[in-house]
Amino acid sequence: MEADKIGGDAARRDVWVKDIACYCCPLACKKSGLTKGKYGGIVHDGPEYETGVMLGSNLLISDMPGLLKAVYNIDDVGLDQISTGNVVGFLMEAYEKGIIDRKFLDGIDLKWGSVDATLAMIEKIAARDGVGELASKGVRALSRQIGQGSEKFAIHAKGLELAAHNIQANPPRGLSYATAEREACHLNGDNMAMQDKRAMLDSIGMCFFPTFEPALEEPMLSLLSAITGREYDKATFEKAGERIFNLEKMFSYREGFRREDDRLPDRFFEDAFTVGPKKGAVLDRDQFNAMLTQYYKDRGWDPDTSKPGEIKIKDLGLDSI
Amino acid sequence: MAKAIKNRMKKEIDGSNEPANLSRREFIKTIGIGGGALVLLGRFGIHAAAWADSGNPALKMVLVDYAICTGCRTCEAVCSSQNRPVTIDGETLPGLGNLRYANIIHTSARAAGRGGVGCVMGSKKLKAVAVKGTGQPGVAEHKRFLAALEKARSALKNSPAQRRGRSRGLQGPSSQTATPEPRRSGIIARARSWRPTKSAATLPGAMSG
Repeated sequence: MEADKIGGDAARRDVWVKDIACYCCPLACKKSGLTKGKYGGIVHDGPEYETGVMLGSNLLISDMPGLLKAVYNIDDVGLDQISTGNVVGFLMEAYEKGIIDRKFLDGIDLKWGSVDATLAMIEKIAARDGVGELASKGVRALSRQIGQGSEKFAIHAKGLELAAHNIQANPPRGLSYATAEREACHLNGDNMAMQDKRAMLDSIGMCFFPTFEPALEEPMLSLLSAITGREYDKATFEKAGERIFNLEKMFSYREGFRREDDRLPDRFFEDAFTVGPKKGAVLDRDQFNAMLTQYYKDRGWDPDTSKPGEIKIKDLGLDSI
Repeated sequence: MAKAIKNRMKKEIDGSNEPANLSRREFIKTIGIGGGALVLLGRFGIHAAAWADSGNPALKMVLVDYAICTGCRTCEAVCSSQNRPVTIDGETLPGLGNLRYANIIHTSARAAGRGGVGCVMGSKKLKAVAVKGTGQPGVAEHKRFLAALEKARSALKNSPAQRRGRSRGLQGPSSQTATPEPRRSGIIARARSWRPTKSAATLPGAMSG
């Protein structure tokens, strides 16, 4: 399979030289290595799952050095890997469908799988040069400008591009994408409890990767207590996370975000998986709406508007805000 | 790539278009005797050195000391800002402070946007935070902190899932299958056998950009 050429095993076999860790971290999740050929050089980022999929499979790029060059360049200029992969993929699809032409792309022949074209587009976006000016604003801005039905394949929620997790067969993840306060955030987890936990982890500056290990929970709470001098147990930790998530929602609500903004791209309700064990899976609109209503109720928010309820706000000690 | 860099160095140093035959050691020597200034950006936080002409404040070269490098990539940010100058209102701005993006990286590729740090820095137009000194922030209960730290480290070290992560990285399901040992020949083997030394001059790949 083409995907195997850019997977973890291939990276380990052909690219990897050494692991890099944050200070004293036994996980050492970063993989540095070397690639050869036209796109050869030093690389510092794996690829990870998100970078590998969004710049690799998503763009039909199966050239490992080329993929890693794209990942490296995106890191170099400080763009987001997921959003950049999404934007380039959107433009490739629009180009393939004939919605935009080569002139629109400043002469770049942006075909699926083209590493050179992808690298050129990354440069354009980073410099906000020509088509890069509009592309730098994301797929929502692009689709609004281009029109012609391109909204159908502009994969975003509330303006943020989705990560490399297709959700046709994963309604809870879809719900989390739709309700995440910083839009379609894949780091929000798959349920309410996880959203709260991740909000708290964000606030204490904790890396997510080690927190997948259940045995870390108790020492993590001890660490937090020892550092701050305040006693944290599981309940107080979760409560703090819920408070943060609700505070974020109060901010969003004040800024005009309502239930109708908590939506997902049409593609997930219309384009079923065509291969794999979940072949045929697609989201159901009625089921999704029912899940959304239940979510608001469980949160203590108004199901019609998504406004945080007074009882919940008081319970969390946010009533003075 | 290396040849192109050498040529560029030669051009920068004496204005010549002739190909340069400078080794890195010679380059560093040139800095020392050529009237340039070696500017240390700090041993803690920013592990890089930048070279600037005494009469020209623009940065021309960035050296990375891999013996103390933590992969913060500040060197790359500095280099990018110099080599990709930005024009604002007709004025081309070299050096730091002209980046068109807000990006906070604290390891080789890890963005520190978590916890809202990047967002707050961006909104306040804060470009960088430099830390100087040898101290560190204290904790409320030091003994308890150390005990919990050791427990956390053991939990991670002994976790099968995390061991797999260490071995394969975070690359999805395919990373959970057994794979052969990485190739150890040619350039990979040479890079793998490299060990940190105290002298930046002897390190491979001391250029960035």
